[in-house]
Order: sequence, then C-alpha cells, then structure tokens
Amino acid sequence: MLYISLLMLFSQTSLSAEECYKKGEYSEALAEYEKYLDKGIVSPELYLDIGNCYYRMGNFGESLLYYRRGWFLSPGNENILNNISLFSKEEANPNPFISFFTKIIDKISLRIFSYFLIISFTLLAIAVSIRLIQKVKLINFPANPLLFLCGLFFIFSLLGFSVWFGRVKSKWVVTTETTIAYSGPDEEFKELMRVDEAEEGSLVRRDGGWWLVHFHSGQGGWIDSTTAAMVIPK
Amino acid sequence: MVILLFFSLTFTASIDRTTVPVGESFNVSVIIEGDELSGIGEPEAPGIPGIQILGSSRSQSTQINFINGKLTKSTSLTFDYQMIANSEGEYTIPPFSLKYGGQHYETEPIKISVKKGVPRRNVPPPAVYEDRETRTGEFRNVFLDSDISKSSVYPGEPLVVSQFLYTKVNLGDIQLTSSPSYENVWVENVESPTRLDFSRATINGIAYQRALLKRDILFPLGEKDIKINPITINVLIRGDMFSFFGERKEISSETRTILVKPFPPGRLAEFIDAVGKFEIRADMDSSNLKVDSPFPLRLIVKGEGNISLMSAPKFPETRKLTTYDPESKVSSQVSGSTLKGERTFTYLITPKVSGIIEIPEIKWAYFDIKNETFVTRTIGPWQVRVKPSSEMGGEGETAKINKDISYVLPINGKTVSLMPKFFPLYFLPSILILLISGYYVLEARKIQGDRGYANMKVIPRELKNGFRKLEKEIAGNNPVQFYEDLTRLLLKFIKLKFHMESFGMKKIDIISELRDKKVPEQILPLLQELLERSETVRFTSLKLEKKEMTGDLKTAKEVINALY
Repeated sequence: MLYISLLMLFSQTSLSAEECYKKGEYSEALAEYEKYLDKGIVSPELYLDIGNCYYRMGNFGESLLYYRRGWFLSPGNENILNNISLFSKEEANPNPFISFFTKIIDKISLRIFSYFLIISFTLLAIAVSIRLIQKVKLINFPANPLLFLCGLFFIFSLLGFSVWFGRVKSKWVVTTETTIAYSGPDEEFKELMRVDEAEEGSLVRRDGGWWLVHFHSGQGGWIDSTTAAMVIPK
Repeated sequence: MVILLFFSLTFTASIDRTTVPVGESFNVSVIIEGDELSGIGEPEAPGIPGIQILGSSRSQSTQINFINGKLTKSTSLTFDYQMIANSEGEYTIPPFSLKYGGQHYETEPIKISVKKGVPRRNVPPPAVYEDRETRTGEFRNVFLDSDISKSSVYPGEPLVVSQFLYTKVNLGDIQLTSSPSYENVWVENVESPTRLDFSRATINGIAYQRALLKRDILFPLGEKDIKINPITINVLIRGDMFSFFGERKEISSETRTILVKPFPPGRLAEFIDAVGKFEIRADMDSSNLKVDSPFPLRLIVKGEGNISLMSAPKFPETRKLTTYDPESKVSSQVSGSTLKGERTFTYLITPKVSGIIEIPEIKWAYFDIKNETFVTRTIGPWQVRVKPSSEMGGEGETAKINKDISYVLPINGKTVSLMPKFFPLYFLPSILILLISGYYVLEARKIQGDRGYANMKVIPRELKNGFRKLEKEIAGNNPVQFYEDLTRLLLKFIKLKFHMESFGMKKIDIISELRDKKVPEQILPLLQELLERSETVRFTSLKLEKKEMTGDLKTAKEVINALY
C-alpha cells in the first residue's frame, strides 16, 4: 500500500515537473525536481533534469555541476555526455595507451569499479592463499595462472577506482558569473586570470576559504571557494 | 619661387620643398634663362647661417621651337645647390647674386622650415628629369613622374599618388600602354581623366606643361613597403626641328618605393586594423526576443581612414548567446587625401536562454594617425529580455542531441548510489582468508622445520585423546586396558617431550635418563610406581576398583604436568 502511494506520488510529481519544464516554467520545474532530492532520491536522470532547468534559466555553472553529478553516477549516459559537451570538450591524452585506458575507464562508473575492486580483491586473496598453501602442501591446482589473471583484474579495478575516486575528491565547477584566480590565497595576491562560469578543474589544496585549483588548460591558481562548488560535496 | 626680369634675362631661384626634416638634404635651383647666355658665370651663393651647402652642379639646355611658323630659341642654365639643415627652425636663404653684361641681378630670399622628423628613405627627387639629363639627354623634355603625398606611412594609412606627364614640347597621340600598378596596397581610384588637361608647373626651376594621368589613394596592406611600378606611355613628339613630322617614342616612369613603418609599441588585442579616426554606434531591435531566434545587432563605424579594410570588432563569446561572423557593408567616398564614410557590421545573435541576458560590452581599438597612438573604445553592454521559445520543451527536443541540451528524462524514484554502502567492510572476508592462509603456511613451515616444535604441537592433542580414552576405560571398569593405555600414554609423552626412544627402554633406564635431563626428582618415584603398577595389572589381571584407577589417572596427570 505504502509502495503504491509512493509510486503514485512520484509519478504525479514527475508529471508536474515535466509539465512545468515543457511550459518553460523552469524555476517551478526545478522546485519540483528538488523535492526528489529532499526525499533522498538520487539518480542520473534526476541530475540531468535539474541541470536542464538550470541551463534553461541561464545558470550554467549550476547546470554543469548537476550534469557532472549525473555523470559520476552514469558516465556512459548519452544524454548527460551530450549536455556536458555543450560546455567543454576534454582533449584526449596524446599518449595513445593512456587515451585508450581513459576511454575504457570513462565508460564504467565508480560504483561498478567499487564492485570490481571487491570481487577482484576476493579472487586475488583466494588465489594468493592457494598459492601459499601449495608451498607447504601439495594441491593439484593451476595457482599461478589464476594468480596472474586475478592480479590483472585487481590492478585494472584499482586503477579505475583510483581515477574515479580522485575525480570525486577533486572535481569542481565555477558557479558564479566569473571568478578570479590569484597567485595566493587572498585578493591581495597577483591576479592571474579571470575564469568564467561553468569552468571546471581539479582541487589541489584548501586554505581557509580559498582553493588551489588546476584548470583543464594546465594553468592553476587560488580561487575564492564561494565562487565554485565541488561536484561531490564532502 | 622669385623671378626678376631685366631685359631678356631671367634669374630665378626655387626650392624643391618648403618644409624638410632635420638631416635631410634639399635642393635649391638657381636658373638663368635667356636668348643668349654666352660667357655667363656662376651666381654668387650667399652665406646661409645654420644651413650647409653640400655641393652644386651645373646643367644647360637649349630649346629651339618652331611654333606657328616662327622659330624661337631659349637657353637655360641651371645651378643646383644641395643643402642640409642640422637643427630645427625657420631659416631664410638670402638672395643669390649674378653680374652679367654690366648688370647686377639678385634672387628673392627663400624661406624654409626645418622640422623634427624622420628623413625620407628611398624617395628620389623628381629624378626622371635628372636621370635623363645625366644619361643621353634623350626625351628629357618629356617624362613621367609620380607626386606622392607622404614619404612614409603606417600600415593602413592612406597616401595619395598622382601620376603626371611633364613636357616642354608639343605632344600628340598619347597612348597609355602600361597602367599604373602598385604592390602591397589596397587602391581606391580618385581620378582618371579621359582627356589630358595641361597646366604650367615648375620643376627645379624649369617650367613644364603638366597633365594628370591618374590619381589614386593607396592603403598599405601590412608592413611591406609599397612599390609603385612604372607606367608607360607611347607618345608622338612633335615640333622638333630635327624631326618635323614628329617621332613616336615610349616613355616610362621610374619605380618608386614608399616606406611602410611598423606601428609604434602598444598594439592592442582589440585593434581592428582601422587606421584613421573613427567613432562607433550600435543599433539593435531588442523587442520580442525569443530563445533560439536570432536578432541583429548592428555596429556602425564612421570616420575617415582605411574604412574598407578594417575587420569586425570581436564579439565576446558567451554561453548564453551565440553568434556568427558578421556581415559587413561599406559606404565611402574620397575626401581630400583619404576616405570618409561608414561601415556597418551586422551580427546575428541567437539567445540560448530565457530571462534578462546581458550582451557584453564590445571593445575595439583603432590607430590614430594624427597622434600616432592606439585608441581604445568600448560600446555596450546591453541588457535584453528574452522570452522562452514556444517550441522548446516538446518531444522533439529529444532529437536535439549534439545541438542542444537533451530532453528531460522520467524519474522512476530509484536511488543510485555513488559507491556501495559500507564499502570497506566487503574487504574483511578477503583479508581474513589471507590472514588464515598466511598463519597456516607459517605454522606448517615451522612444524616441518622444527621437530621439537612439531612434538610440542602434538603433545596436547595426544594427552587430550589419551586422557579421554583412560576415562572411558575407568567408566567401563576395564583395568587391563586402562593400564595398557596409561603405559602407552606415559611412554609416548616421554618420547615426544624428551626425544627418547622410551618404548624400547627399560623402566630403570627411562628413570635414569630423565634424571640426567634434570626433571624434578620427586616426580620420578611416582612415575616409576605408575609404570610398575601398570605392568603388574597387565600381566597378573589384578582386579582393581574404579577408585584406584581414578587415583592412578590423577597421579599420571600430576606426573605429566610436572614433566611438561
């Protein structure tokens, strides 16, 4: 009964949000979508829809922030990738091996990599145990090939997990119209560059209300943390 | 130029320019003209304070004309003085004087203004005339020359080039065989007369008839020097006494090069290649704007200069607005030595979002020739209200992938987590497996490598099993089996603990060897007694009570504990 009530509530709210969006009433649609968040619902589709509302309202920083949140949950989602590509196109690494590896990693989410890591670690632990026991007791089992395969699977899982985990910990987006990157953690320092809304990069270090950040361009600087937001907040 | 007439002799002085830069030479020509000049000497040059005479040259020409059936002869003697001023100021060249035929002749003083500036480079004086003089003398009476308004220019700065035909003789059937051509410039034609209109002009004190062939305004493209290629005419020269019916000749001008200076430092990123003086205004219809519906923003640049060559001011990129390269229209007209008019750049701007949107200010810069500096101007910003598009948000939006944002997706109420809950806990079983297998391997290795350690590991199990068995024997009231098992347990314990081959040894030897191993002395009689009793019971089938067997088991445990 409760399930049916919740389902009805969701379908009703969803219709309302969609209708508002279709009418061009984006702030109303956003309010409806945010009700899902209040209920603790998190999904790539929800983040996409919230990002779309912000986009239509001209709030591109927030828009990209939500697209990125959706991307973290479902990196292969074509709609999310399309919308992110409206903001920036990350250039492929000139090293073909790294580029190939990054492409594979980008198709698998952090959640899947987490499961991979658990499974691969368990398999590796079993393979290592068998191999150890073989040293003191004769067991007729091909432990070495198993160990090799499990090791490869574990390394792949660990690398993928590390890349995604690093992104979770460091990725941020400028949410104000513009911000300024300084050479130090204060406005008194030299102004290095002006950074537009919806620029993104990775966080290196925090110092009070200031972030030392890297931009995609390879440049870096200190920005006021109130002008940007972490894609995955603490 | 000043002319003094005394009878049939003309004594004049002229200067090639009235304003010269410091350090640049100029020419003062003193010309004596008359019917008969035989025996005439050089005029006396005055001392000129602040001006140095670099040198002088003398030339003479005689002209015989046959005009309207009448033969006339005139002689012209020219003294050219090359001078130079080394500092700025206003100078007056005093009169040159001449004594001839008992008469004293004087020219008028000539004023010259010397100003600070860059000396001209590669700009020959009206050299065609001189060249002809110093070569064969052929056609010196007819030549082509360019009158150029400036000796050096900045890229884009206009200059006027007038191509003239000079003649001292009658000409007929003038045909232009090679039109004026230029290199590294944009050309705007000012004047191309269809009929030659001759007027009097003096070069180096010599009077010519001059007709304009063509006048252009040139705008340098880039920083390469301007090259003015020769023009050629084919002309019939008439009236010469040696060729009465005239002679057809081809005459060319000289190649001229004009220096194009680089811009001074301080060139701005917003510079739109405009050189001159300009103003800008904007025109925009901002009513009823809708998302994805383009509207025009017109920037109208008005002024004088290279209006045809300037590029469009850069529209600042923004994600709320998109635009394409603007269309441009120009309307200009020649005014004096430059172009005046306006150029309209039309930007088609497409709003991508609804609401109040700011069109950012547009920065642009031009080069002010007069002050030789870059001037920056801004226009905007503007705020416009954009309504949502009526087409937006429909089902068709799904198909806009790669063009616009993707359509909203239905929410099914499922929650997708970033990572599994209690993620680290999933690793505990694997860690446990590793720990257990590691411990097992370590133990196994130790047991395999250390016999004593292995025995020590076995004794508790052996004792436990042995005692359990003995208790069963007591419960079953089976004294023979009990003492047999007790003997085996004691001997096995001694064997494992003390590495003695106890099963094949006599009791006395066992006690003796244990004594040697410094075991507690008081326990040995008990051990001996237990072994002896066991032997007695086994071989005599002595009937014993459970109580006695329990007592012996207790003694056995005390002995083992003491020896362990």
